[in-house]
Amino acid sequence: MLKNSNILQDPLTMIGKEAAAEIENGGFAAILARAGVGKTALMVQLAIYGMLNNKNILHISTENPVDKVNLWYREVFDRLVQEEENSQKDRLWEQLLHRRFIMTFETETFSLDKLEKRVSELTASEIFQPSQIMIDGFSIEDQTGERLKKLKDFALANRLILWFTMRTHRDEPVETSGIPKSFSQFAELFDLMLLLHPNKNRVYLKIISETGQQDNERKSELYLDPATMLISDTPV
Amino acid sequence: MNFEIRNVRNIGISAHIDSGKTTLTERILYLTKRIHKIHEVRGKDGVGATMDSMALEKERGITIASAATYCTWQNHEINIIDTPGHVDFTMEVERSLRVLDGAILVLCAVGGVQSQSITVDHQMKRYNIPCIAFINKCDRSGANPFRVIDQLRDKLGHNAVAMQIPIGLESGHEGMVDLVSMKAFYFEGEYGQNVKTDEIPSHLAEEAAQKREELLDAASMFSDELMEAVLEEQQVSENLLCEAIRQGTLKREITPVMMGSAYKNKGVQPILDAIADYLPSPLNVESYALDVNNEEAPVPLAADDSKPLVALAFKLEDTAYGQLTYIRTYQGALNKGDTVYNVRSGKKIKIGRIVRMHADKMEEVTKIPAGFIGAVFGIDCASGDTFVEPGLNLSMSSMYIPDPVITLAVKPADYKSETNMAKALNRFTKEDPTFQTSFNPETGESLISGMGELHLDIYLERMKREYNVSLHTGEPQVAYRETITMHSKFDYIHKKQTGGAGQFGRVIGHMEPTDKEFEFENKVSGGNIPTLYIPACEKGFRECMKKGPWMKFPVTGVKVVLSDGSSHSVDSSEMAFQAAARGGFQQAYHKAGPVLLEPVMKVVVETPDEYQGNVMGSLNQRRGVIIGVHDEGVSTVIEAHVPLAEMFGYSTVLRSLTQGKAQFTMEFETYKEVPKSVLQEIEKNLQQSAKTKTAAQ
Repeated sequence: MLKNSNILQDPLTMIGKEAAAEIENGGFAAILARAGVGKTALMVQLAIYGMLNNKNILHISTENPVDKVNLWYREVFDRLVQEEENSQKDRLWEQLLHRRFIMTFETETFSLDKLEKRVSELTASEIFQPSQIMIDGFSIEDQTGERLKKLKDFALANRLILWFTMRTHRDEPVETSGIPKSFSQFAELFDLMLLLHPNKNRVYLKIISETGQQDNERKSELYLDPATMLISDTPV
Repeated sequence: MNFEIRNVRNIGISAHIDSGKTTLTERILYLTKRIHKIHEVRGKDGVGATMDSMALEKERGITIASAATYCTWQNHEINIIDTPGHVDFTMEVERSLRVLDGAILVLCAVGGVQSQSITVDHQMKRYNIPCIAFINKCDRSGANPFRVIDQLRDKLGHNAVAMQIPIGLESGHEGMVDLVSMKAFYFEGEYGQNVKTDEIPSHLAEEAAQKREELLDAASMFSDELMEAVLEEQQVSENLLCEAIRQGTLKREITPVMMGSAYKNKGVQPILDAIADYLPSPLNVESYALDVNNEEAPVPLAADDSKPLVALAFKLEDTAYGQLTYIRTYQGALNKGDTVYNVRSGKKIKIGRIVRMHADKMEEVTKIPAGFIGAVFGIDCASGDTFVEPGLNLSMSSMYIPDPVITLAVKPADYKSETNMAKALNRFTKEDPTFQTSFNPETGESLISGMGELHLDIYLERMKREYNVSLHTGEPQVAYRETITMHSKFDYIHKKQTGGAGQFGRVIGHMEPTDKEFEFENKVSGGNIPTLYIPACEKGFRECMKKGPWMKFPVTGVKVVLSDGSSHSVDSSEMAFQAAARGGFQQAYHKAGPVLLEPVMKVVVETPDEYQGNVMGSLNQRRGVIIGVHDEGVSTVIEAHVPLAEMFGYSTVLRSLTQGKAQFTMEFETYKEVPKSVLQEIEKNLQQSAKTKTAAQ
């Protein structure tokens, strides 16, 4: 894998905590935010970082068609590598494509059963062996804790890490820990929860946990750069 | 053509391949006394079905080009276009549907709704064509018409309602119970020509009553009177029920389902009745033309002989008497001797011979009335042209033409074949917009493009048979390109002193990759190369782009910067600087990391769910990168980028992998670098063909 270490800073390391290390196989991570705040941009950034580190990413979307998801990747990738030479960029992109598989569903036809079936088929036929699954547009309201536990077992058995983006609502009540009420009953299943919250002209990123403890290692604030939607910690 | 317009039916018969469309048409023609003997599609008499008029169709047992015919039934005139069922010929189906007012969707009682039925149904929806369904082959083992009705509802979203129930299935198929008249129909005589009406067999009475209830429920949505009668449990007359079904069918909100076995001559007459009863006449169909003078605003047309003519040429055929053009009149009548205006070409045309077609036989008439289909001899036009009365400037909406997906190189074997091939290609491209031809100056071959390998295969066969063309065909040459990946310097002196005037030119500069095809930048200062010779330098560099110094493929993406050089007051010339530029290009090119590029196609495969693994595997094997998979419930759409060189023969592979249930489209996406392993293979092939050429010389 052609990898230019200058291209990317590990977004999870930037988040401060050794977040990446905390998520092991069978682990769940969630990006929570209101609509239009930048969940997909962040997820794609994390996915690209994974691909650059030789991880195979299966991207699931119930909201966007294949072309649009592909465009997200290309755009985020272009922003990440804008300093690089064109030919270098193209070669890197070509290599990354082999590490990514997009699967989209009609919202009404998507189910976790179907997801498990599709992943098993992909793996069994040796078409694609994912190590990380990014599920963009996951509706947790339709799920039960039991079903998610089953998915966790599936992830563990298949040595997978699952990332979810989930939409919260503007006026939704929030627990003292900062976790939105609709999500709190499932919080224990998640190893990492990231909240994107807009404030004035910026979208800030913070880790939330059931205990309400914030990661104190970080001194500077993390936010999504409004121009690129990439994670930044450059003081404003 | 003495029929009233309200008694005219312009219909098509569409279905999946081998569902029995042509067999059904043959029965219809026999029963309406248009033909006096039935010839089976693959009959032992070797005659072939009447609608399969081309020798090739008879031989292969499939309908290739639509043949148009007409017949009469119970004071109704029925114009039938028999349409090809194969996916490679969808243009024919589309063109037929464009001019039809209604259609019969033929389905196999065993196979049910198959992939091609889905395609054809999409086409019918696009042109808003009302249809009735005929579930054929009820005599076959495994026949289950009610399962097919369920599929019509689930897979195609039709409000399908049984109009009949079968009396026996498979080998015990005897006839059917008509749910409108509540009578049993049996078909007697050699070709089932005698319809015997009887009471409903007692064992079917309950089922018939239940299915009639369902029919009444569905039909009552389209008639208040029927609704009232049903609610008050009054006797429902046949006329009242038929009229309600007709209203629902015309709106495409109900699909009456007939059943039987065309091959065993069972259930054909009820279909003819249903065509007359439920499918629209030209008066029931709203047709629009586009006003060319008014930003293509839609103009409603009326099927009225007294109004100005608007007609569409929807099919061309080359016959012994010249070009035969099939025409549908939408408004006004087309008379022999009329002068009409071709909106596309702007030419005025005088109408000569008008005929009515019956497969490959014809009868002469003097006019095509409004709403009818006929054919005209001796007018020069292309498929899809609109004819109007002089003074009007209306065009029928343009027909949807899919892009060709496959290209094949052809080379005539001798001079005679070359001339004939040109004639054949000229005719085929006029007749069929999905069949295209081009010339590849890089390989010097003619290229034919179409909707699939079978599509091209048929045209190759036709060229051989009808035009006596002897052809060499091969896999199409993939149009490779060369490009550079690095910055590289040149400093080249072209010097020749061989008596007489010498030649001298020196060029210094560099080349680098660029996104554009070719760029040239002149940075020479101080007149080291006189301005006079700069264009010659550019020309020299540009010439090298045509044939790469490395593998002799065209070069792309090179920027040449000329920064310095020198000249000689006597020996320098344009020719000398051109030669110097060529030398400079060659010198720098080999150090600039040349790579070979190949065209990569965006391939989209639509397949039933159960085959997606096989399809993805087949794309992977072809060096494809799967971009994504879209799950649509019962079917899956797979999108991949695959090198064109790997896609030849894929339609055949896909068919066998998915039992013909998957379809794919392919379009150019981009050029990408050829992997090293493949490059070696190409180099080897090139060396091989160079050796062959040398040996041949």
